[in-house]
Amino acid sequence: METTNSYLPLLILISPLIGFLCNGVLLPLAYKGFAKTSANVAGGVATFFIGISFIVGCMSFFQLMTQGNENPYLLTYCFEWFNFGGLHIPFELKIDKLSGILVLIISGIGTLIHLYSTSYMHDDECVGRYFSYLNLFCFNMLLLVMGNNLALLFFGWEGVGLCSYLLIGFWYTDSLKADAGKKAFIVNRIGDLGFLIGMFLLFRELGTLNFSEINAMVKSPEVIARLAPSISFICLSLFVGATGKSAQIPLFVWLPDAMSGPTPVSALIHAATMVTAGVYMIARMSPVFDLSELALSVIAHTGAITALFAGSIAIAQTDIKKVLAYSTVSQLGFMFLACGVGAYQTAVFHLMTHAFFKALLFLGSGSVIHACSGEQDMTKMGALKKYLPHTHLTMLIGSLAISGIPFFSGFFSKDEILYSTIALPGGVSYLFIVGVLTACLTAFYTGRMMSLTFYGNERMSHDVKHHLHESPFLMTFPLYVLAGLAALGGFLGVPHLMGDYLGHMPHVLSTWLDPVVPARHLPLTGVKIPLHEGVVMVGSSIFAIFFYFLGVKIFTKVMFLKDVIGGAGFHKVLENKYYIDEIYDAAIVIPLKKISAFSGNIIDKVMVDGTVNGLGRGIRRVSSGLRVLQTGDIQSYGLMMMGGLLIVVFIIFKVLV
Amino acid sequence: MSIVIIILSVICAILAATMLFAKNPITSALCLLGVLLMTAGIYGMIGEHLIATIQLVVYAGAIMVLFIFSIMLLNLDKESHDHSKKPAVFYTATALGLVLFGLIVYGINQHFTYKFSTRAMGQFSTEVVQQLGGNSKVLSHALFSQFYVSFEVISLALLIAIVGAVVLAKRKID
Amino acid sequence: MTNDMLLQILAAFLFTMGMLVVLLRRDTIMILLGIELLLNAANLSLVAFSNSMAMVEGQIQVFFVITIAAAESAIGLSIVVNLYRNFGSIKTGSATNLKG
Repeated sequence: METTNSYLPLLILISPLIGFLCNGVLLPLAYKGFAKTSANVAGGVATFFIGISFIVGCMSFFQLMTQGNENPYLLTYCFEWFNFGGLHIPFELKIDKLSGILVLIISGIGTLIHLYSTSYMHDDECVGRYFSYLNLFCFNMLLLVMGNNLALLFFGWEGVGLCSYLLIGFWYTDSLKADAGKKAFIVNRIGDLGFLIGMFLLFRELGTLNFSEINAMVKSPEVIARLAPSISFICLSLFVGATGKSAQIPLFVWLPDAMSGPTPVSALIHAATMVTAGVYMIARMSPVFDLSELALSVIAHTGAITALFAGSIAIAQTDIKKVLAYSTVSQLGFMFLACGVGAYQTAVFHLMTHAFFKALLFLGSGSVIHACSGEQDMTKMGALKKYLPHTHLTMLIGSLAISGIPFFSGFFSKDEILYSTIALPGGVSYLFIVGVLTACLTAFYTGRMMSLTFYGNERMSHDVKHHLHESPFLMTFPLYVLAGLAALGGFLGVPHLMGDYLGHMPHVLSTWLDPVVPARHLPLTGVKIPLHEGVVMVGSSIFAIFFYFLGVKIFTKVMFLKDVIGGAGFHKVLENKYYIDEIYDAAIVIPLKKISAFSGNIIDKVMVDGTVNGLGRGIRRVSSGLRVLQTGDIQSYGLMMMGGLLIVVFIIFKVLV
Repeated sequence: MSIVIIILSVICAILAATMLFAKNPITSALCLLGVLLMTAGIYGMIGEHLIATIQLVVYAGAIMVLFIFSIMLLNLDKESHDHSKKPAVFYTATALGLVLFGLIVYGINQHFTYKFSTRAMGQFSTEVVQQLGGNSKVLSHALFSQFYVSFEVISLALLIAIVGAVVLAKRKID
Repeated sequence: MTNDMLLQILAAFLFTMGMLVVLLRRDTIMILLGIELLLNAANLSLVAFSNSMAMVEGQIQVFFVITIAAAESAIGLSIVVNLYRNFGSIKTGSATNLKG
């Protein structure tokens, strides 16, 4: 059955936009100001509209499932966006199997987080503004995943960047937070430049920006031949955009700072959805990326290094949200590692499970912070287990999931990535070792975070302790839902090896994604190497369990690793994030400021102003000199006339005589 | 080269120089009158009798009388020596004048040395003029036949000038 | 040096003198006198050349020039008289009504 114009994608997209307009325009008008908007009403409206998106998303998902043909999709052709020259960009929304999953993740987790925010942001002054931004974000993110061409993707890409900026700097009266927003925006701009260049080049080479057309075209041999000189550059340019949005080296510096936004924002934007846009983009254009071995290799290495790098920083952080932020960067590195070795399905799988457990962890940390009266420093927490039983339980599930403890979701996806790095043709063994190391680190710092937060001694101040309370139902409910997903989500991608023992559970996700993102994963296409996969699986489980409990054990007593094994100097380096910000400052910001100061003070003030002023001054001087000649005395004029006459006579004689 | 012409020329030059340096306008005007008379003499010497007569009657007789009359009417004092006020102007002007004079003399010299002998001659040589009845007859004939339009126009201009002079002299500037 | 050449040099000298009178003297009436001298110099040059080249056009020209000189001096003198009446002086610097 060929789908004609379906209105479901449009409905999904429009709903949060309406919510945004309600919260941004109607409610402030009704309440006469953002600050006066009732938190419950604003949150209710916002949750309602994103909830509609989720419901419609589910409907379209079922429609996809029941369509039954090879590559089903829902398409909405809205209008001609612009059309000039050879550039023809329709405003076209498409839900296929890949974007269907992402729509569900975005709208589903979005709904939960909206619900959570209603309670979390209850006492904030500008709650209406908050919810309007949040809805606008959902709109842009849905546009990003549903847009049927690169231009629409870029529209959403920029839109989420804007909303991220607005929400990071939501408490803009604090200049640190406003600066963090600016930093995110500027760093993303750098990436976007790469994205734009890649997009333009792709258009120049192929003449279209439509995904299905691009992906179909790059399969023909002559197009491959034509693209050969530029394909690596195109892919790397697009990847630069992805590094900006998805916080990879070298553009990851904004994400840890982005934690200054409200915690639900961190959960939605900086963990579950927006930061995975780069992974989505690469998965979406996987046939293009497949053409460039170089680009894939760069992506894999960048991902691996970022994963290890950020994971090591996370060990030394004391701010609970910073730990999670570096953990996010690290997990995103995992996804790019998967993309880089060609395991796009696995990347999407990890994207999904990560969205579950990372949103859960962030919301849980939000609950902790909420309980501790805004305290984010883990050294001032400890032994919260008995005060926050629900939060503890759900966060435990989340931490087990991220650590890769068997049968939680993270186990399946991470294991698949690790296995991909050696099993695939693009895989390299040292990348596998880096991956394993990172997985151990992940388990370790997650254990540390749990231990510092929930176990050990009570370290909070008396005031904080006095106010400790479990969060209300509206906040724990999303936690439980996400905990369920984090615990069970992995069973969507049970490896074939294990599936056989468990009574043949197929790799659902792989089967689902195959028409859109063809698998290159050997075991997933039926060729089994049982020994390898089994070894990897068992080994990584043992490592994960060991390091997780090691982390928990060590940090019930001490706060930092240096207290156990020494290495205070290295700890300082880690605590200061390898001084990356300082290095960037010294390498880019300060020279740039110096150049600006130079051009401002020397080039502009001295050269440009000097030229202009000098010209004026010179003319004035010459004029005041010439003014003497303008005597008003007729005979002086006559004298000059005579001088002129002399010259004329002289010339005449020269010519005639 | 006639000795009379040389004498006339020298007197003429001396009078012109005196005219420049005389303080009293009357002196200057009388010097100019002398210059005009000398010029008329020169005209007569080279055979231009009609022009000499007109020079005498119109220039010396009418125009100069008008000038002197005006000067006496306005009762001008001795001109204060304002060359000294602007010596720079004085020296510059004198220097420029000398350069101009030098240039013209150089040009004349060049002309008479190289080009004068090859000049295109007109038909009214002295003999022809004698045959045709003298200088006055020849000139008058040309004036009233060949140039009669110009003559009429010039008479009109003179008329207008007279009317203008009357109007100007009568009106008071506000 | 021939007659013609002498007359031309005399004309040049008279012209220079007239020029200097116009440039240096401060009375308007002296300037007018200088102009007469200039015209006379031009006349002399014309007549001398025309005579030596056996033509009549130069003399006709001089005839017109004298007429124009008469007209010019009539106008000029009436202006001078007017100037004197209005400013009490005929110095070139006296008429300063339009000076900014």
